[in-house]
Amino acid sequence: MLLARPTANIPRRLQAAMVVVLAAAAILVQRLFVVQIVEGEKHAQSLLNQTTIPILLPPPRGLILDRNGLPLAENEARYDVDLYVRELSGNYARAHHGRLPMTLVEVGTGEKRRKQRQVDIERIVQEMAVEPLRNLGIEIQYDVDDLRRHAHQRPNTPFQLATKIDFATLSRMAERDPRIPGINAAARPVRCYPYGALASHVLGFVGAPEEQTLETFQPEVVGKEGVERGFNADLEGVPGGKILKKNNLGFIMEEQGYQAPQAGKSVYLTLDARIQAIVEGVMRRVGRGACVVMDPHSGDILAMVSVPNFDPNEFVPGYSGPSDGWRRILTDETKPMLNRAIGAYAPGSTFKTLTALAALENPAANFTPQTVISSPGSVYIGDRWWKDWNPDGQGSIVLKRALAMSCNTFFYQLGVRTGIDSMTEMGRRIGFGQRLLLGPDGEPQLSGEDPGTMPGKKWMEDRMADRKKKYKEHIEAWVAGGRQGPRPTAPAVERWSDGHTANTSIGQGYVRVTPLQMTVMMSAVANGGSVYAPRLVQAVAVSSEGEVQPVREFPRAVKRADLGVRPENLEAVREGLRAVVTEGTGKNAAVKDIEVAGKTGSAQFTTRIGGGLVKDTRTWFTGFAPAKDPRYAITLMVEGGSSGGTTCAPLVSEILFHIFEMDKGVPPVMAYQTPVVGHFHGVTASDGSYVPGAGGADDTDGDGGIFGGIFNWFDEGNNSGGAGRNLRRSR
Amino acid sequence: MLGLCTVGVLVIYSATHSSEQADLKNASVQQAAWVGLGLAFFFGLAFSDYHRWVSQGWFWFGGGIFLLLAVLIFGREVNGAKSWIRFGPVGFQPAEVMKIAFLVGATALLMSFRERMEKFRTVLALVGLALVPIFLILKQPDLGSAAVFLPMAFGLLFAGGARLRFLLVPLGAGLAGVLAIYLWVGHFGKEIPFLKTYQNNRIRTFFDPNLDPLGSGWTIRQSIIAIGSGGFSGKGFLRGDQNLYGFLPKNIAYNDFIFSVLGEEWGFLGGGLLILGQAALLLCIAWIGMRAPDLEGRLLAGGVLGMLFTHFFINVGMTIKVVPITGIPLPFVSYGGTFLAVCMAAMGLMQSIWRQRRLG
Repeated sequence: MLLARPTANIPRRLQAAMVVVLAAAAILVQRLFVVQIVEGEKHAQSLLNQTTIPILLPPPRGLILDRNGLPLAENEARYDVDLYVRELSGNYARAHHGRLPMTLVEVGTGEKRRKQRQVDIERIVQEMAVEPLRNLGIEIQYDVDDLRRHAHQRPNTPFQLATKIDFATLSRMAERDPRIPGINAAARPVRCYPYGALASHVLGFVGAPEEQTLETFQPEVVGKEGVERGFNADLEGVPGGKILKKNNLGFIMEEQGYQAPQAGKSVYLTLDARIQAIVEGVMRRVGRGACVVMDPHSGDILAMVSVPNFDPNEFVPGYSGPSDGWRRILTDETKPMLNRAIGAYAPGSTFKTLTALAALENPAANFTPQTVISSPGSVYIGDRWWKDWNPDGQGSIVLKRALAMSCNTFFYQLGVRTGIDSMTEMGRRIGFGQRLLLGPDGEPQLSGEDPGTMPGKKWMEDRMADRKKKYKEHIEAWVAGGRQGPRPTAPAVERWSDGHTANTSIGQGYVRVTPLQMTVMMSAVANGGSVYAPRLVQAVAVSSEGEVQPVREFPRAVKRADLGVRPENLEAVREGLRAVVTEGTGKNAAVKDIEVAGKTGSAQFTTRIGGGLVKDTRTWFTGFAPAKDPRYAITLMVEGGSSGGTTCAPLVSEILFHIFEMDKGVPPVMAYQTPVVGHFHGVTASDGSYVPGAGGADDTDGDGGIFGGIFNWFDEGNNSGGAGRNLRRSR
Repeated sequence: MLGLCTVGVLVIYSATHSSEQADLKNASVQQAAWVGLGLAFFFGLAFSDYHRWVSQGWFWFGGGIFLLLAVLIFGREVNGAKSWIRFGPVGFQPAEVMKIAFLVGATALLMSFRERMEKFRTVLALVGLALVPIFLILKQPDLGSAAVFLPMAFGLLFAGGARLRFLLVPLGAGLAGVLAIYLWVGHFGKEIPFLKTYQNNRIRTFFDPNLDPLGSGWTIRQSIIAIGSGGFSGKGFLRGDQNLYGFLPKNIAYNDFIFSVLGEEWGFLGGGLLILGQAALLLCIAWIGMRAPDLEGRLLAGGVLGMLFTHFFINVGMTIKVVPITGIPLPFVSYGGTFLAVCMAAMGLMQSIWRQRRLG
C-alpha cells in the first residue's frame, strides 16, 4: 500500500498547516486590533471629517441700553445672500466628477508673500451662482480677495455675496427658489445704532475680527472700542451650529445636531440717553471738547460726551450708507475717535477748588474760610513775581471772593501756605492721577482712559529718576555707537520748589485732569465729601421674554474715599462756588430759577496744527446744581475756547436748563444724530435759541488774554464782551 | 459554516439595503437563495463518495476549461472583466467553478502520479495543469481569482507528500519576490515593468494610501476608516455611516469588502469572531485531512485548505492593509452565488471524507 512507503509525514504537515492557519488568524486579529482599538479614534475622526459639514450660526449680539432701558446699540434684520463655501464647492465637485478648479493665490504680506494653491472658489461662484441670482434680480457684489480669504480661513461661516437686498427681492428669491446648494437668503441680525453718533465714544463700535486661525470660532464682528470692546465677551453670545451629513459625492443626506445660537447678554449703562442727547445737542457747536454729567450722590455717569464724534454705524461691516465713512474719521486731525471725556488736560483755575479743600483741612496752613489774605496784582514767591490776571489784584479777600473772582495771587499764597503734600493727598483722595473707570478686577472698562497727572514731591523724584535712567541709556548707546554725533545732554535737575507749588495751586504746570475726574471732585464737594467711583455700566443682564435677569451687577454708589473735609469747610467751598456764578467769573452759567454753583478755568496751551503752533486754550466749567440740593454734577471742557466763563459757562447753563426742563416733563427730541465735525476755533455761533438765564453782562474784570511770567498761564476774566468777540470771530 | 453564511446574508443586507439599484437591493435575498442552493450542493456531495468525483476529475476539469473558454467568447463584460456567463436570468462565474473543477482534476492527476509523488516532475505537471486555468482567467482579466490556483496547487502537493524543498523553494522565492517588490516599489518608488498600470497603482497605494487619497488609494483608505471607526463593539447593525454614505464603494462593499462593513458595524468583537470562525473552519479542514482514509482525501483537503485559506487571508487582509487589494471574495460571507456554491460543494467533499475517516 502506498501508505506503507516512508513518505513525508502527512499528519505532521497538516499540523504545520494548522499552525500556519492559526498564525495567519493571529496576524489578522492583531492587525484588526491595531486598526480598530489602537487607531480607532483617529479613524472615527477621519470619518467625521469626511461625512459632516459643521456650519456655525452666529448669535445676535447683546444690546447696549441706557438707564431707562432705551437701546443705544441694537440689531436690525438685514437680508443677505449667504454663501456656504463648503456646500457649494461640494456640489460643484459632484457635478464635475470630483474635480475642483485650482488656482494660485497670493497670500501673506511683505516677506511672507507667496503663491499658494487653493480651490478657485471665485470660478465656482461664477459658474454656479452668478447667473441664477441675476435672473432673480440680484447682482452679487463682493471683493474677490475677500471671498478667497474667507473661503480659505473661515469656510464654516457664511460669506455675504450680496448684502442688504430689499424685501421684494427676498420674497422673489423665496418664491422661485434657485436651489443652489450652499446659497441661501438669510435674515441676519446686524449691529445698528439707532441714534447714530449719540454716545459714540461710550458705545464704541464693532468691526470684522482680526484674521484668526481656522479652528477657533470666528464671530462676524467683535467690539473694537468703547463698551462694545470692554464688554465684548458679554455681548458676543454663544454661536449655535448645525451639522450636515454628506455622502461621498457631497450630497447632503441629513441635518443633525442643530443648536440654536445663544444671544449675547445686554449691557445696561448708567447713561440717560435724554441727557446725553441734550449735552450733545449743545456740544455740537464746540469744535473739540468734552462734557460729563454725573449723579453726585452715586457716581453714576448720566452723560459722557466728546466732540467731534463719529457714527458707529459706519464701522459695521457691510455698511453702505451715504458717508464716505470711517477712513476719513481715522485721519481727521481733530481726532474724532478720541474720547476727550477721559483724556487729561491742564485744569486751570478749576483746580483752585482742590487747593482750597487741601488748605482748609491742613492745620499747618492755618486757614479758615474767614482767613483774609491780601491779594495784590502780583506776589513774590521763590525768586520771582507772580501776577494776577487783574493788574490791580483783588485786595484783601476771603476764600469766597477768591473763588468767585478766581484770584491767582490769593491761591498762589494759599498753595505755598498749605504745601504741595496736602494738595497731593487731596488729589489722591479724589482720584487725580488715577484711572477711575475700572471693573471689579481693576481692568479698564473704556479703553483710552488717561490717568492724568497729580504732581508732587514724590512724583518729581520719580520723574527725575526716570530721566536719569533714560540719560544713562542714551549715553551707553552713544558710547556703544562709537561716540558718533553729539553727546546727549544731561537732563536739567529739577526739584520741587515753591514755584511749582504756586503754579500747581492754580492748576497750571504739570497737573493734568480728565473731565471725568473733575466731575468726581465736584460730586464729592456737592454731596458732602463722599468720593464715589464713577459708574458707567449698571449691569450685564440676560433678557428673555421681557424678563431681565442680571448676570453681573456693578453696585451703585461705591465710595472710594472721603474728602475728609469738615462740613462747615465744605459748605464754605460750596458758597464760594455758588458765588462764582452769582457774582464772579461764571455768571454765564446761571440758569433761571436754578441755583448753579461751579468754577471756571482756562489753561493756555498750544497745539501743533498743520505745522504751526496755534494757541489752543483749554477752557473749563465744572459745577453742580441746584446748589442747595445738588442733583447733577457737570464738567464741560472746550479745546480752543476763549475762557471758562465766556466759552463754557453759557454752554453749561444751556445744558442744565434743558436737563431741568426735562425733569419738569419736557424731554428732548431723540433723533438720529449725525456726527459732530471737529474744528480748531473753539465755539461756533450759538443758534440763539437759548440765552443764559440770570446773566447780566456787567462783569467787573478787565480784558481777557492776560498771561504773564515765563510760566504760560492764562486765566479767565473775559466778560461777555469777550464772548461776543469770540462768537463774531467764529462767524 | 452556516453561521458564517448567516453573517454573510445579514451583512450583505446591511451593505446594500440603502442602495438605489434594484439588483443590489435584493442582494441579501439572493444570497439567502444561494445559501439554499449551496446547501443542496453540500449535502449532495457529503452523502456521495468523494472517490467518485476524483475518478471523474478529468471530466470536470475539462468542463471547467470549456466554461472558461466559453466565457472568453460569449461572456459579458462587467466592470472591465469578462467573467460571467448568463443563461437567461441565471448567471455564474466559470472562474469560481474552475476552482473546484481544478481541485478534483488536480487530485486525479496526482493520483495518477502517486508512485512518483516525490519527483520534481510531479510538481511541474501540477503547476502546468494549474497554469491552464490561470492563463485563461488572466485573460478575463481577473488576477485575484487566477492567483488562487497556485496556493491550491501548493496545498495539494503539500498534503500529497511532495518533497518539501520543491515546495518551500518556490515559496521562499515567492516571499523573496514580495520583498523585492516591497523594496522596488515601496522604497524606490519604481514601477514593475510588466504589470498593468492599475496593478502597479494598487501595489503602490498599498504602501502609501495617502499617495492618491481620492484615486486608487481611496478604497483602502476608506476601508481602514470604516473598520477603524467601528471600534471595539461597532456602530450597530445598519449603522455604518461609512457604508451608508457611500464612502465604501457600493458595488464592492457587499462582496470583496464585506469585511469592512462588518468591521464598521460589529466592531472588533464581530471582526475578531469572524476571523476565529474562519480559522476554526480551516482547522477542521486540516483535521479532516489528517484523518482522511487515503491519499485522495488528503489531497482534496489540502487543496480546499489552500483555496479557502488564501481567500480568507487575502480578503480580510486587504481590508485592513495586510496585503494589497485583490478582488477575491471572503468564503461563505461575501455576496456571490457561484463562489458560495463552490465553497459549499468543497465543504461537502470534506464532509464526505469525514464520513469515511480513519478511526483512532
